[in-house]
Amino acid sequence: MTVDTVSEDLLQVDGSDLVEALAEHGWGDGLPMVAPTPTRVEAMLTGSPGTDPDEVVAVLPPRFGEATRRILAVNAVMAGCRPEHLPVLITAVRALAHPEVNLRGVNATTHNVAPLVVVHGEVARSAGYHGGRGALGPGNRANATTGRALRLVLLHVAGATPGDGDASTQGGPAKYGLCFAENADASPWPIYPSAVGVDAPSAVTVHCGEAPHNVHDMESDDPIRILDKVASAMATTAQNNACISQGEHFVLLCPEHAATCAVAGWSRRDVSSYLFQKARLPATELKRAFGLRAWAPWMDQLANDELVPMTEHPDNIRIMVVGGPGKHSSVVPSWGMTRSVTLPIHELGD
Amino acid sequence: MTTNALSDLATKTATELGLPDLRMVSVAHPIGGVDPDEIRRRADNVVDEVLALLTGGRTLEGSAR
Repeated sequence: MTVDTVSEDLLQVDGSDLVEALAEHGWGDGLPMVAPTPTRVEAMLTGSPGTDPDEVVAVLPPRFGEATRRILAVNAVMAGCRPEHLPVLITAVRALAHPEVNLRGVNATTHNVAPLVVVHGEVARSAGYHGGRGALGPGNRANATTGRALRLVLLHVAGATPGDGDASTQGGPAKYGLCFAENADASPWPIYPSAVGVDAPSAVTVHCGEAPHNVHDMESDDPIRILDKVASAMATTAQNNACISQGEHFVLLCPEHAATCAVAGWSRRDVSSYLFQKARLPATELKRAFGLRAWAPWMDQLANDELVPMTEHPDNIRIMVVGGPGKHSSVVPSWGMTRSVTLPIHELGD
Repeated sequence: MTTNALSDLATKTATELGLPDLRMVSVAHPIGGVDPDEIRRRADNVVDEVLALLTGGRTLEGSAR
């Protein structure tokens, strides 16, 4: 999609008429959109001041479409974003273009993988991203529209259209968009980017994984019983991380579960190390489940009666705090052949 | 090589990579979870097509499919 291909006639329609008009071009996610009029796109670009709107910030497979800031702004308008959300979208797109993400595979696989976008630091507060109660669900404009805008970019620029650009067998709800803030105020540990070597006031993490798996523990007052349940959610043969050992597990702890760990003196590293030790399955069970395995060599040498970790290194277990009151956490296994990326946001004009 | 259920994706990807006439051979989908003997039968059935592509430079129809 380029701005030039959006006819002036198209830009004059809005609401449900726009849905029909865009559907004729094979564009959109099926939901109503905002018409990307030149005035709206220019207003959106004010969210990334002092930058070149026509600079290509990423080339996105499988279509290898060029994503300029202007093209991203067009999609941000269509999704319902405000200008202050544009820097997050641009940074998320930059992150997805990193080779270790393997975006061509992410978009083209039969798996239901979709990008999870986490917003960290000052921009989460200033642009209205929500990391508290219900953060992974509906009700917050910044979360909802940024996640949706990223999907529109994947559809329109990357060409990840179901069928000839996205082979996902069933698709998944996260493919409509999944974006939220890290709940830094309720976290007992330093902000997540610092754990992966990113020192910046604002940052974005992208992780290409499944929809979140719930972890429920209402009663425990020690880390062990809570994290054993997290390990249970991680240790299943029904996910790619069981047969691909480089895969990451994002563990989204709710504030109360995290606090229970921290009060007991556990650091973020303690939590990931414990989960590495406990999220395991017998080698014989995993070998029975998978004839094809992409495991680290040392894992393949474990005897059948030994326990195999669900990933090859504790660093692949990523811990952050999200959510509000209550005792539900989530595990988001990756697609397997992809790595998460955390980038500082340099688009804020400061 | 591709399967018939994924040939649209393969063709589109090849085209976007600048290879609209990439020589491709399609076999019946799926290939996962299929008896090895059946896989061998499917492979045997496309050997002539593969040879034609490798020696003729085009698909049997003259373009990618």
